[in-house]
Amino acid sequence: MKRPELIPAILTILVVAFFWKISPDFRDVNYLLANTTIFAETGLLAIGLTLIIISGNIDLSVGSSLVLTSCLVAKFTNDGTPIFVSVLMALIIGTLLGTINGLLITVGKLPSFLVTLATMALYRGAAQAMMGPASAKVPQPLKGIDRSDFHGLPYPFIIFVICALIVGLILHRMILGRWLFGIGTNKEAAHYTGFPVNRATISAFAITGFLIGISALLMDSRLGVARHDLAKGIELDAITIVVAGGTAIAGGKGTMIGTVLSWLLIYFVKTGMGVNNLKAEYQLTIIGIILVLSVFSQQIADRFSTNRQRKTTKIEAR
Amino acid sequence: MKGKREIGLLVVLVVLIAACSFAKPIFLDPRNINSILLWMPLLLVAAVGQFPVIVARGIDISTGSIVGLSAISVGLLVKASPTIPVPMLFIAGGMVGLILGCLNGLIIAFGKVPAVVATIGTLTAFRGLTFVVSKGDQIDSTAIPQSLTSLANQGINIGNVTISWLLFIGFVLAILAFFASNRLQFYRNIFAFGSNPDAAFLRGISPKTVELICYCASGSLAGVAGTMYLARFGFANPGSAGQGFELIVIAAVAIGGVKITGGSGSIVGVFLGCALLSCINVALTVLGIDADWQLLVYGATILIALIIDSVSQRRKATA
Amino acid sequence: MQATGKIELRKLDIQPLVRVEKLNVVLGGNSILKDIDFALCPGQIHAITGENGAGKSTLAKVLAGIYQPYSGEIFLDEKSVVIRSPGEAIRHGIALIHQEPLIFPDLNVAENVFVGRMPKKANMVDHREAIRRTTEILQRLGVGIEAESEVGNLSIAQQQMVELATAMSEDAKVWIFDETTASLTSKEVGELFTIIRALRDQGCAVAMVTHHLNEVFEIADTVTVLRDGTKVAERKIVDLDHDQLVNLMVGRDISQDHLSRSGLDKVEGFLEVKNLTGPGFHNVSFSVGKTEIVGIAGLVGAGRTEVARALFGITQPTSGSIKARGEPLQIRSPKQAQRAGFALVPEDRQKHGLFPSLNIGFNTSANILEESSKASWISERRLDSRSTEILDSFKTVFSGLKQQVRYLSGGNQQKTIIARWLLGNPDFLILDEPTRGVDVGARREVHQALRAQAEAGKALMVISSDLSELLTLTDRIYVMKGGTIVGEMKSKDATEESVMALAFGGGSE
Repeated sequence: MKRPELIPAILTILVVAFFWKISPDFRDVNYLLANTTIFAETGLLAIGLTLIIISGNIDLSVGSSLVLTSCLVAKFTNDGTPIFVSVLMALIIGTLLGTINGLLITVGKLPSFLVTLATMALYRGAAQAMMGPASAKVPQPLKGIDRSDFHGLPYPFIIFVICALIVGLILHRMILGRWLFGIGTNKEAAHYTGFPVNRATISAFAITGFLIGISALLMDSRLGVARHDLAKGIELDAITIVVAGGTAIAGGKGTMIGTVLSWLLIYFVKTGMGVNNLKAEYQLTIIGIILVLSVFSQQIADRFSTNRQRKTTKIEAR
Repeated sequence: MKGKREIGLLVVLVVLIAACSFAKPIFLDPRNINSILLWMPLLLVAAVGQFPVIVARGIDISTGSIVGLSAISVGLLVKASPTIPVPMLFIAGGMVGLILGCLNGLIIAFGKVPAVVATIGTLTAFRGLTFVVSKGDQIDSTAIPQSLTSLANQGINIGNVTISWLLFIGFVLAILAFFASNRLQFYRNIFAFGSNPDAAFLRGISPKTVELICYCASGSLAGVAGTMYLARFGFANPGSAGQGFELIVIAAVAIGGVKITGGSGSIVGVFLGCALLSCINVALTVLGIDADWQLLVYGATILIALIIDSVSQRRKATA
Repeated sequence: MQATGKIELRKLDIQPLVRVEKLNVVLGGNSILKDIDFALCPGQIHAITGENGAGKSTLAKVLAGIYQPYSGEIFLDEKSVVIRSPGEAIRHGIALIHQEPLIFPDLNVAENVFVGRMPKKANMVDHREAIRRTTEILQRLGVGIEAESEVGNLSIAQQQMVELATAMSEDAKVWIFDETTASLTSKEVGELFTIIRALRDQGCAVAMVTHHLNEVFEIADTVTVLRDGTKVAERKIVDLDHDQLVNLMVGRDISQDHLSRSGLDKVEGFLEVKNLTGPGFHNVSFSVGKTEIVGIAGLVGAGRTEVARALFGITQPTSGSIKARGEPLQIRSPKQAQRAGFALVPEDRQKHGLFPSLNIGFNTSANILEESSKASWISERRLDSRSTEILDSFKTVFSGLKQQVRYLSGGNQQKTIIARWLLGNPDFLILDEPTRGVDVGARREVHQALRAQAEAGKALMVISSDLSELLTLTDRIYVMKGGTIVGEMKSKDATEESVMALAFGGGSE
């Protein structure tokens, strides 16, 4: 498929058209724009996940890192804390949590899905242990990012787009990006070619952690409080966005544009469902189905294109 | 050396119990022991189901949702016909789980979707289905017959400690699983497949068949655990039933010594892993540590188990 | 092992147990075996030998159901059969013993032997019976392994015994050994041979794929020589001597024009390796000078690739020294090797060289990323122009830099990888089988390009199984055997026979 980004693009148009037709509440452009505030937080996670999945790994702990970071920032700052301290805290904590994942996977030589399954529990568990059932108040200077906008575009949306741009440039125009594609395609060859496999892998997780830090700040700012049980299911949304955007789950293939378009698609799907008052649980189900279908159709498309290559019949064991 | 891991686990278990009872003698109070014993059956049954999946180098993250959907389904069933004999309820739960597990298996084995992604997807899909089926309503305790819930609070009494019928059912299933893992050809094939998938294929073992069977087993046992859930708790909420359960199950299997690389492990180890986790759970409460620490503890245990496995593999390789 | 008495066979009346007729095998678009007629008779040990890449292993794998014939027929007891899978081959009584044992490390010996078909009592797996039968088989083989040992803990030789036991449990009548002695000590080889002889004496047909000529003379009755996919000869061992066999294997190839070093005889040294020992090799000492192309000859398993891997930082040597430009070097990773000015074009380009689903541009420019970028920002234009330039200089056939490299022919893939490493402007270039799978015309182009690099002042080390390549391209040749260097000669004084003689070793070992 020459331009896989076409798929989410076309689907987005179809979805928008569909909901526009059936729900009058959907036809409010201001609302549609304002609502991106929330989903931008998920988008930041998806940006980082794109790097991780392209390099052949996966990160199930993004939601838990988000929650832990937001709780730590809220809990250990007060109204007197200067903003830049809170910001710095969030960024450092997020990056640290991501780097821990990266180290466990590279130095520990552990499979990424098991490691991040464990840290998914560990991080959110740490948040829960720290917070209990209580909420922590977000310091005043940090609050309210959802209340203002820049010429009609909510700040979180702008931040998301800027981050997508910057990380997209890293992925497609910088050396690190090439390393990640190489590692995700053939880790052995990457090593032989002198790519710094460990360093690059950890970087992908660290960058994701950094983005999670930003996302945590946005979430704190919007909600004004931090709790351990927020953002449930966000990792599912994020992974679905990445995969539906054309990034191969096995690694080695993907684009940031695809992720952004897919973010748009899933955003409209979710908003449309929400506007029609579809229960939260059903929304989750639909997203889950989209995830499975996206990967499934990728596999079919893959097999379709490489099936012609085989004339001789060496038995391949999987 | 075979059995090394199991002996180690037993030692840890004994040490843990000893240390806790020493620090807080109340640990050995019948109420606490009963607590541990009530935890075990659900965890054990689901873990025994997850075992072949991990041996075959896969993973099933949808276990909790299968438990929930099965609990709700059986609850609805018993609501509709309250006179259904209890054994039928277990069979019904198992069937629901079988269908769900089969779906997992088809997606993974035939759809070639990686297990992680597939079961994350089905985790939510099944949870959503739970809401559809229950119309959002909880199954109340009034709907659950005594005949079912009595399995949880009645059994063989030793002093004030009750070994519930539910625990017996759990034991029986675990023992059956133990024999199956030793004596059934297709189960031995699962071990072979997990040990060397390419060699297994060359020796005539079909990867698709192995994977399908594993996920069917995991699903149906999770389904049985769903019925047990109803018996144990007496109600089922479509949102919370079984939520997060898969994490504990995977933790139990990981601690129980099933290697990340697949191909080895034992039901005995899984049993000890379940026992250990149940004890840790109750120990936390007894030691005054909040229930809020549970998730952290589960995450930490999986991580520690992984690291220990990884280090011991490394040492084996350089030996 | 108890021999049940040699079976008398009147040679004229032997019917082959398995036979192929006009066998052609095509893999990945390349013709690997051409019109092979081959037969295995009971009570015979039939060696299949030839140089690297002659097609020996392929023939074995066709009989074992792993590869399918492109054309030609297979006969079992003179009945035509189709063997579609390893399972079918086993059912026909054909067993293949692999060089790297195909075993289940986490299971015990008995389970390995009876995988998928464990003995049963009332439909339940009977482990005790499996152990009993396995113990019996192991005793018949004369092997001292416990049936309950975990196979992952066994040595390679013992794991091979497990494979043998498996074949025995299947009542195999045709036994094919594919380079099985590669990882064995001479004592273990002796034990294996005792078993093989016993198999022959029991009336089985035995084939041994090997390039160890001393083994051929030690154990085989008949030998078939393959060269470049065709069967060159089949002889009884008694009718042959060592040099004749080497001749048949090597043939009389036309020597191409020797691409010799122009100019001075004095070479400025670049690389000096002294007494290097590491995984797969020991006490290796050699030197490569600037403007020199040094060849490393030897058979598969002689340790050549292992030396290359240690030089490039993939593995670590345990003792000895490496000096480049007069300075001692410690190379711990490919990245460090690169920084020291080294480059390695690996032997297995699919596994270690290519990024198959990525495009040609990516594959070619993989080494010049850092130098073509400012502050990590890649100038794609510069990368593309340099890539195109060098690929064109090799006359690479491709439809554009955006084409996925996996769709290129083998030769063009190889050119891409060589181009990649040359772009990095290394001082020392190691090439492991640089023209494997490359057609004659492309080979010439690659050789000329390599010679040009040498002239420009680089030091080159070429590992090759292609004797004509070594003789025409290199200035000096080192021959390796059994993990160490057994000889050195100037290329213009060398002949294929002299190189091969060293590589195979003398007739007596």
